[in-house]
Amino acid sequence: MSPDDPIVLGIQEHSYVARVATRSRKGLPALTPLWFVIEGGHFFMGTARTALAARNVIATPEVAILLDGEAAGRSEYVLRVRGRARVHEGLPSWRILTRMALKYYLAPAAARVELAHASQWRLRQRYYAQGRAAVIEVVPESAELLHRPD
Amino acid sequence: MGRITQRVDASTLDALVERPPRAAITFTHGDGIEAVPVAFRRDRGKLWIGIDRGLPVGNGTPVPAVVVVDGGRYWFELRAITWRGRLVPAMAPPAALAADLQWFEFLVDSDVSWDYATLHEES
Repeated sequence: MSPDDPIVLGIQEHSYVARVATRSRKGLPALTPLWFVIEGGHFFMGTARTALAARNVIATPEVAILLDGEAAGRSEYVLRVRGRARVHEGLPSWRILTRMALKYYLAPAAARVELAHASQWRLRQRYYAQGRAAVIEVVPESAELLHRPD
Repeated sequence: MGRITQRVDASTLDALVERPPRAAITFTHGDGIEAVPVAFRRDRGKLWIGIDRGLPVGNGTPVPAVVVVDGGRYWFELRAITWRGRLVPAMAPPAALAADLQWFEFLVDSDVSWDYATLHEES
């Protein structure tokens, strides 16, 4: 399937957590759940520069991403996107940050979760301050639907 | 001040392991990386991985792999367990497992668990 197929775009729109498969320079696999937004057809994922996924992408740019489309209910299929990734050091652009905030912090369901954990916000600030921010950008090259075994 | 962490002991995530909203595996395949959703079961301390029969996985030899079960959408809901280990064809999987899948036992070398709701400062 083409990465811009309407089915692919629909699953992306209904997905919150991407499982990102990467490889180290020595070929060791890793699988990391990451938040993402789509901008201009590319995936943008916030992480830390020292995180395993970022280090692997720098070594080996080929990645595979699994998306469940979980907001649309449990589907019989999972979307797999293959593409090439690169790491940008530092915070995402304001445009990406805004989209992240709208999706994961300010949407009504997200805001309810945030408010329920307001006492931990300061701790979270300290958590983020421990690492150097980075963004993984993935340019999709192909997509396919996989049967979800249960 | 101690390090702020979301890491937890895997035993605190038993509910996630018993009914994982998402379960997937990755392993290298030729020069590429494979990633597929899986059926995941834990039975008497062993981990069993069910994969669609159409997918070639190794040649009967152990395959280095990583399995992740995870759940949640928003920051304080995110929780996961990652196991690193080897995928080996299951000679005698539990009888209750779906027959239309190829089943593997996952031999664990290491694991990492996190639950963002438990964010805390290490002492």
